[in-house]
Amino acid sequence: MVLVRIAAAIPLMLVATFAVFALSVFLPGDAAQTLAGDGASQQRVAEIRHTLHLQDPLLQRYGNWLGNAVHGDLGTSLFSKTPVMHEIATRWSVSASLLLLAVIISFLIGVPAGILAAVYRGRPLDRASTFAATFGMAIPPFVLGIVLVIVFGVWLKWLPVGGYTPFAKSPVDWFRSLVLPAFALSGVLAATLARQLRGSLADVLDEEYIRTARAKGLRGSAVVLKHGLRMAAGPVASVMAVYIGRLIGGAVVVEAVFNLPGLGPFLVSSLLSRDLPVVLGIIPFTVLIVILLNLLAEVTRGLLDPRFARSAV
Amino acid sequence: MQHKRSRIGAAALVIVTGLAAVAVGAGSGSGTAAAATVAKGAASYDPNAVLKMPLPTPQILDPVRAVNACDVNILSPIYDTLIRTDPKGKYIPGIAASWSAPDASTFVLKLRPNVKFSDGTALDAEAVKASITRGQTDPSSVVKTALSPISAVTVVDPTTVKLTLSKPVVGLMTSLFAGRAGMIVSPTAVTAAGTAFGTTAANAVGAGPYKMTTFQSQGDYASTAWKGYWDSKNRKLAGLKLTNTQGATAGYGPFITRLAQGEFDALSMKEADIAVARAQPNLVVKTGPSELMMQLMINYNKAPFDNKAVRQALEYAVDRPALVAAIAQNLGVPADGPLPPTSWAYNPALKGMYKYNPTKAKALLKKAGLDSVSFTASVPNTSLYVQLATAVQDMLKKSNINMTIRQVAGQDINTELYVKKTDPAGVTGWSEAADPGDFFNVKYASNGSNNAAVTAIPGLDDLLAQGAATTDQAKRAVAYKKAQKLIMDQAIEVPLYFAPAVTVASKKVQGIPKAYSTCVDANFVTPSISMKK
Repeated sequence: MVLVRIAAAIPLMLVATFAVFALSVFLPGDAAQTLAGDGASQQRVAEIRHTLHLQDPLLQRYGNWLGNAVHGDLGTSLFSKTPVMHEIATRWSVSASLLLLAVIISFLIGVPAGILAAVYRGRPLDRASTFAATFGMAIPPFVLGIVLVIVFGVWLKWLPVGGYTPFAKSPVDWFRSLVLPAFALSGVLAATLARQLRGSLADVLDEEYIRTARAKGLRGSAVVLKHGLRMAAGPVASVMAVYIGRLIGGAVVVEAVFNLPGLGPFLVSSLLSRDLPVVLGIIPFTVLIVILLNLLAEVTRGLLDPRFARSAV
Repeated sequence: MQHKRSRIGAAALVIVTGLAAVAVGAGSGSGTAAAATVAKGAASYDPNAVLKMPLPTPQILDPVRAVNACDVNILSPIYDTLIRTDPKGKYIPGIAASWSAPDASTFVLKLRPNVKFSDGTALDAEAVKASITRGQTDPSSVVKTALSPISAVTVVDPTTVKLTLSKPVVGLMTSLFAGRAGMIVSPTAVTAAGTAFGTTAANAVGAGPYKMTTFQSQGDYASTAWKGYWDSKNRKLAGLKLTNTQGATAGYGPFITRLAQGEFDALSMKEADIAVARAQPNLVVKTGPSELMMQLMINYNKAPFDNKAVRQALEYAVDRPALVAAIAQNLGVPADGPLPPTSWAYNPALKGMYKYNPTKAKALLKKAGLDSVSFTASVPNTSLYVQLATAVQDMLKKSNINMTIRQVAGQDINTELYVKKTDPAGVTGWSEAADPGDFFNVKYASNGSNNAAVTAIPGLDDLLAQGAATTDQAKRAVAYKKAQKLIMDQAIEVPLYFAPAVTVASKKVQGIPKAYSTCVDANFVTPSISMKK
């Protein structure tokens, strides 16, 4: 089943990469003018355009790119002259660290908040959780990021204002450099998680078998955690996969705000300079991550809820 | 940035300073890097200090393949240049001890003996020839057009190189070899690395004061002083450590904070955040006019600007000091002409030539038989340029000139104005090359690549040819002063003001000059930067 899902990703990759290629046609200007340097003659610009095959028909260019890509060659950046694979390899760990930490923080905040809201539904704690979640969903990560920088970096001086320390160099500094950006990024996910879990768990807690469990004399926390949460987690996992995919978009901005050398700012600068090979390298990479996350969510749901696993297969 | 168009429009230009280049510091002080405590009459400095700065770091460490104009600042500590420029724009010896121009089409460089690259390779006439030839032939070279007048490079002896030119433009050679084309690369490293040259710390090899230890494209950059550098007595730092700013998306506030907290030593930024920097008690803020000319660029071949009276009306209709006050926080310098007052070729006679005068502007329109004029201007869609264009628009209205603003993506402004020529005008920035010859030839010569009109102004091409025909800077200045007068008489350009450069540094950093260029084309020589003990 997993293999089928991965196979289904192939046409999706083709569509995504072709869409990027096609959209690039509508962008004004190309890399040739910049590559030619200051004060370069138009003949020189044309020469570079010719060397890079920038004026070849779209399908031909896409075909060439695809032919190389399936052989594992994503080409070289037009500006840095380094292989695109190398550029991605030196940056993905920053983005992955950020995303991972953001997901962990989201769960640490969202799960308890969701459970408490569901158990105490209708009471002040539920309303407080709802308010906090609405706020979390409404505030964009970069705004939250700037606020966090001002409070924890500038006023309190507890954490660095920006920059990145690799894990290998110092795990403590690595963590310190990622806490604020990960927290800023986790806002939406934590809020969504809390809301989804509250809804899903509230439904489950009204089910008859929960009442039976309580009647058997099980403690309230055991009922919620053992029986309730297991059933409620399935639907939440599916929704989460979608939201974690969206985090990648938020990470682009958060990395820029916190001056993290990840894939995000690199993608933006490559887009601005029309470094198409780099853009085309990063897009399938992120598509792949989103597909894998969805797959992971389905597998998780299957493990939590055997009924779902059977029906999905 | 980025990746921004290197010379025009991109606000990112303002970000970069000559700081990195200043740090190269072949200064006038006489401290020795080894024993190194006291420079004659100056404060002591720490020879083991590494200068740490946030900067937009280059995509590649190759003088002829790095596309952004400001990359030269960061390349110059690695690749020494044949010729250097002092802060006043005078050309002084670098790797070349002297040069001469037997005639307007021959340029002879006399190299210092015993200069070595950081990999031990000898920097001799053969290496210089290989480097120039590479700039002329590399498929990705950004200096191919600039080097095209050189028809032959001859090695006369191990320390003499003779260049034969196909045109009498020997005057342009000094600035050329004080910039990227003069950054000599190690032939050993080029042969070994091939097209990968400059992509790693190990294969970016030159004869500059520092050699690379860490490099990631648009990422971390670290270099260190090395034994055997020919001019080590003028090197005052142990190395440079740069962190990529990635275009400072969230403004300069976070970088100023990191500087104040001691993570960095110095920073160059836009004037917008200057209040934040000034509020820090432990930082020193300096400003000065840069070479970024804010301009109302006009295509004098297109209506309504094919009429001289209309162009002159435009000159009188802009209140330059008011723009400096409103847009540049009073830190810029109103432009009398296309060169800043700090340039060695600046013509002081232009001062006050077009003082703001709406009455005169309207009278000139009348003279052209018009009650009012309307046109559209392309404007880069970054906040600075949109603000500037809006202010200009308001001013022009008072002289019955109606300007419509059309926003275009910042990095496409060059293509819009000089290639597609959609609109007859543009409100944008132009970062000038250090030498007025390079800049005037590109922008005002009838065949200039950035002359949208592509039409000769009688006499201008001749003056530019005179400026290019000699290496004597005094004679060149005479020609360029006349050229500026003609440009302003004909009103083929509406220069507005020179944008401010702002530098912020910790109190440990010493020797920062007052005025900065946003982009220096070569080693900025004296005074050099050093760090207090």
